[in-house]
Amino acid sequence: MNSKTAFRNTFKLLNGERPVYVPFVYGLAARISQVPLEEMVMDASYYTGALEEACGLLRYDGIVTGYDATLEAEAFGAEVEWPGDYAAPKLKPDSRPGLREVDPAASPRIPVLLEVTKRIGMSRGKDVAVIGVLTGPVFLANLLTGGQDGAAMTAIPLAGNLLMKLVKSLGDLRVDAVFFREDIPGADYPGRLAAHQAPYTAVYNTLFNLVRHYNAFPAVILKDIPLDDITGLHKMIAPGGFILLGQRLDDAGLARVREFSASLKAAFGLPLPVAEPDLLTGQYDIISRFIGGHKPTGLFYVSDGEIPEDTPLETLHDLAAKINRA
Amino acid sequence: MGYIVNVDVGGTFMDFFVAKGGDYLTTKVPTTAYELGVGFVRGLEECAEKDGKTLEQFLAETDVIKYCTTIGTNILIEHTGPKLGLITTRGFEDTIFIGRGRQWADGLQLADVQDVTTIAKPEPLIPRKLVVGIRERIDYAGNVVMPLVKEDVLEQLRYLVDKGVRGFVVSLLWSFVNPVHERQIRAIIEEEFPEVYLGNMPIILSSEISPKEGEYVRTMTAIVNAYIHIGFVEQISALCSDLLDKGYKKPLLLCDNVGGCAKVARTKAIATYGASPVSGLCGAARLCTSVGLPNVVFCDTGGTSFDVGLITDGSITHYDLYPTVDRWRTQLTAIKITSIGAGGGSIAWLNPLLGNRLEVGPSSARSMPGPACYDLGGENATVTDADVVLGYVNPDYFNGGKFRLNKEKAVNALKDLGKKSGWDEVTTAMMIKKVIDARMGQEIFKEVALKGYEPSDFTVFAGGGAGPGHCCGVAAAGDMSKIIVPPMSSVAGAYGASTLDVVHTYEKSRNTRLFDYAKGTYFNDYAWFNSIVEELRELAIKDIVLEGFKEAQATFRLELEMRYGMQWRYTPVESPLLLVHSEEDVKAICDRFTEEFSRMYSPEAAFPQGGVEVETYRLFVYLKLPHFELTRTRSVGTKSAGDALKGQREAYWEKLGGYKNTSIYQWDLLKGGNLIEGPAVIESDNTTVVIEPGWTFSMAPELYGIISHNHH
Repeated sequence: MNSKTAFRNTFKLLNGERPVYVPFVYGLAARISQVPLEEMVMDASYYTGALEEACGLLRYDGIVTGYDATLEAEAFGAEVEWPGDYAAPKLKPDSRPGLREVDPAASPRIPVLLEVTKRIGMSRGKDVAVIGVLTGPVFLANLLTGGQDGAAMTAIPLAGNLLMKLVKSLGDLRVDAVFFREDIPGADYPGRLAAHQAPYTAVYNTLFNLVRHYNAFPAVILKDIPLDDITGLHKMIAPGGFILLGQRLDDAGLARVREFSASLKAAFGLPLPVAEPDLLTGQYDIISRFIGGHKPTGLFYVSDGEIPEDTPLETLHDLAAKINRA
Repeated sequence: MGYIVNVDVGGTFMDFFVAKGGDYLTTKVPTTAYELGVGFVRGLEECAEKDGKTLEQFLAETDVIKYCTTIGTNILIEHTGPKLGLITTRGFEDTIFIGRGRQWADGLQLADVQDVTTIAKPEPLIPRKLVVGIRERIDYAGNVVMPLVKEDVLEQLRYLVDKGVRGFVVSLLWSFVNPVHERQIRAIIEEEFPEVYLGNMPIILSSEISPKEGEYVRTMTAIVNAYIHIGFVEQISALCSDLLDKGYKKPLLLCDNVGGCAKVARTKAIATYGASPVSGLCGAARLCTSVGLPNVVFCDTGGTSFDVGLITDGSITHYDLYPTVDRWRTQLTAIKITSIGAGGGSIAWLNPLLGNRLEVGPSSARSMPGPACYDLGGENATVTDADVVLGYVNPDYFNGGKFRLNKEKAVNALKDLGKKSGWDEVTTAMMIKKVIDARMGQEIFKEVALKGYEPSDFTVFAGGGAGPGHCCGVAAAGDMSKIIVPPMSSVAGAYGASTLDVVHTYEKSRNTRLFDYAKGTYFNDYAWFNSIVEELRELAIKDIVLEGFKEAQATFRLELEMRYGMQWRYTPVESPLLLVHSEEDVKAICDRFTEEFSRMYSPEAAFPQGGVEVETYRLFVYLKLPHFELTRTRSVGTKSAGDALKGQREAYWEKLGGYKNTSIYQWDLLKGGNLIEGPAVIESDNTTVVIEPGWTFSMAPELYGIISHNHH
């Protein structure tokens, strides 16, 4: 069974082999290819080559074709700055995106991202999963309004419309999954969602329906979300998977996550703190021991956020070797 | 015995009917127009899951997959075919652009034909600059009048290749009588442009695709086939490769438009056009005959189109000898199906040219973006949205609950539409239902009445996902009072594919005067007649052997296109004999023609004294495959369907003045003998049966439903 099949089986809760590993590789790919990130993301050939090289070197199961929460905001007119050669861009503090309908084809980097996704699909799509990562609607609306709640009812449908177009584009390129990255502190996320529950759930439902129409799997990336909130969130938005960044799970936590997976019929991405080598081994051992006692079914490994570009490659090699041997 | 998997691709859903022994299972998945193979595999996965197997296990136990594909249709509609060059006889390069007078209107709906301000000829599949004429001439008898000149051919070929063509269509005058020049051109192309240099460039000869008289239609048949050929090969090859990777090593059979199927390598791309409704019609014929319903109007109401075909006296006898493929008149021999743009996904709109009159269709929301209630970003109100608001379709149980519909979005879309007319969402929904039922009902009435039959003698076969939901309204509008709803109605095309045998057709035009009116004598060159039939028979045997069958397994049927004297049109007649050996044999054929002609047009119109001619010989070869038979029975229950009652909900019935609490039944729990008086709704995984007031549903022991009007 190849990585792609194993990944898809994970989201069908049928993975009986070793857990798949999907790290968030972005700036690191640029560093491995020795091309500054800003240059890489503007050139489909560099970008594709960098992602392929990183996957070949570090032997993981799914290629995330982008991990950049500024992409969609930039399409709305926000300006970005590039701190350093390989670090992900940030939005300029005084940048003001416009609240209007946008055409993703007119944005500077989205067409490149889509072309890269197409090429990765053609070159590696038979063997590894191809995953698109988009900014989640809650976070995106927040970026558009600068946190001003009054403009939320305008921003939410605009964010939804752009994301729908992107999902359709990714779907046409036959990605295996679309992850929606909600880069909001976990404690705040449920509240933000609930504050405008109807429009947000409407947007999420449409996005997830679209992803499923393309025979792909939708998941939400959340940061430091209390496990107690998972059931309630699933009732509201029902993704096909949750990725639990920031969690340091012990056996009890893992048992709860497994229960969630079975009862909610959702896959769960378990974070490995790749940036913290001291914690990495321990956390990996806990999770792998737990999974070793059961089948992974719907559980898989992710990196705890984007792998920093200065992470020693030896660390990543060792981790890949352990995962592939399991 | 393993699984027999039957797949039917529609504009909105892909349907799967899987038979194993006497049992079957069905599923529907949204059509993935961006790549049909994705939906194909997804559907197989669902079928496997329903039977408790992995996809790999399921495919390992599958004996055959039959596939009704729309690849060709999609290529034509989307205009994504390759750049082709047409080689024709010099002086006749403009034939396909002049076309026939009807070329303006072929393939258009009546409303578009009547819109004379915007009607236009279709954009040619091959532009004029890619049509070249060759100096050559063969006469009507097949004699070479002007031989081919190789240098002339090469000059024209180089011109076309320099213009970037990726395939050639060769159609010369009288090539169906003597194809020598067409074959010579092919040999020259293969010699000059071997595959190793330019890759595969298909060369389509009109004398092979359609060896019948008719310069324009013969050429167009070859062009349409060539246009869809490359894309067709690519997609089918990719699908076969995908299936092979997943462990399926048996044949993939493609269904065609003459009611048969064949292996991929023995199928012409153009023959798959319209295969889906034809398969459904064949399945309906088989099923309805077996349950004692000889006269049926087959209706397949899908998401995008409404397809109608006739079954008379238990047989399918209506062929379209010049079917329009997209906008192009061809001369395939295809079973006649009438299609209009009407279905569950038909978009309702206000026609500003007619005072904002409500129209429904022909445009469809398809599977993407789909009806508003699909919540895939669609905003247009459709028939399905109306059905949800009227309470007929359960938004929590659509497609067996796999797909939850958003009723609020349906309501909003209907409200938006109804604003201009001052209608609320309920009135708008009701109007949509009335308009679409009337359109479909009118179509079935025309189909039956214009062929000389009495509509009230016919039973409506309610097929397609949306068929059983509208069957009462459609039947009433079509002046019919009886409806059959089989258990697999929602996947009628896929079920129909399961009833198909391997069928090939071979045609040749050879004018043969069987009875000479001037001399009063019958044709007596029996060897000549028989040589034509034998030539077709040899082609047939070659194909079936290559498919892995033995000659002894084949049965043959000869059909002749015949006419009296100087008649313009031909009538297809089944010949009582394959070969002729005596005057009695020839007379028997002439008598059969007179019999058929009299049946169709009245005995007073028959005129054998005018002479009898054959123009085209058409040989059918049949190879039987295992079929699914609907024999499963349950213990017959009582009239009361109480065990199947699953609840009540408000549904709108105009005859009863509005929303009424309506009983909802579960199809799987019904037993033979159960009676349900309308109004009522019966739900199943793949469709909803709506029994309107004044109609009664009864379940037969074989578990097909009959809906009858109470006053008939």
